[in-house]
Amino acid sequence: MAALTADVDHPHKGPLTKLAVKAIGADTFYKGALVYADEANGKAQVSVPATGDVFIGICAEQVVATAADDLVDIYVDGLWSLNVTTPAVADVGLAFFMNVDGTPTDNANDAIQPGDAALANTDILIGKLLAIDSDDSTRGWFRIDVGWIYDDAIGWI
Amino acid sequence: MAVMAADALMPHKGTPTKLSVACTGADTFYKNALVFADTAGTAQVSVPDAGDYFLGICAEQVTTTAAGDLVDIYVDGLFAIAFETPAEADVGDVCVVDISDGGRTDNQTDAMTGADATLANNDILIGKILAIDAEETTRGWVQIQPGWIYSAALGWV
Repeated sequence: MAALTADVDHPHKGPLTKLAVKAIGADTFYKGALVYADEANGKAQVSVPATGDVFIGICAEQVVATAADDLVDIYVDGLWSLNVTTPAVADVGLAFFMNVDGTPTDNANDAIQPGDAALANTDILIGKLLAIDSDDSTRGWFRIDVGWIYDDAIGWI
Repeated sequence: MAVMAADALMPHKGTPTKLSVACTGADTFYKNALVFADTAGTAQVSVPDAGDYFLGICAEQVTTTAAGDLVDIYVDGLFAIAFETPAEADVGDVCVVDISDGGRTDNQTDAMTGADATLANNDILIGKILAIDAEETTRGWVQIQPGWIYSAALGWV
């Protein structure tokens, strides 16, 4: 897949916590984008995350940031139906992540699980798969887990 | 203790998120049973095996008759769980199902602290112990965390 070029809708359940975070610079944060904190300065970015970046939430509404520190609303918790790569019932319980050595983007469709690519240093945790959507088998229900990256020696940190 | 044979009491706070999950096969899921995903990804109760993940807490008693029947579970929230010998000193520890100890079940009274379990491969995380119930010291308040098992090499994965 590729970085988002339009808003996407992700169904969700339960209450969500919204947080305003500062953008790293001019960019379009599409609704439903996976938002990352840049390793260098902690500011929010979309498109292609790099080594050391961490997932911090899902963009609540489209925002066109024109400069650094413009605010972007994100959801930082909750149960989300995400259209990740080839979700299957057998994947329930697994961690889905962005493969930093592959083609990581802000598009949930690019999230994969350890059977798709071996976990490696600085891969970015998106969340744990808890069920396949009974109405749409291209989606799984995820509890998103923000702020975790993988370390070969000690696991998720 | 033993596998649940009746609904159980488990107070909770807040508004936990409910999710419908597909079951492994015919079984009775008692209210407030600990529900696990087996290695095929479907929901089961009774006795979890190595590699199974905690999915949530059964919301209402359901008698399933075939694989794929749906069971409602709570996948987040703060629950007063009657794990083994709760004590103030357990606050901050994990609450787990000790797979390596054998005989552990869907019954909350078979859960224990990480310290009591001596964590080993495949032990199943239930959640983090945040307080001992002020009115009933046989219970601890646990923020549940579905989807994590223990690796001796990597910690929680």
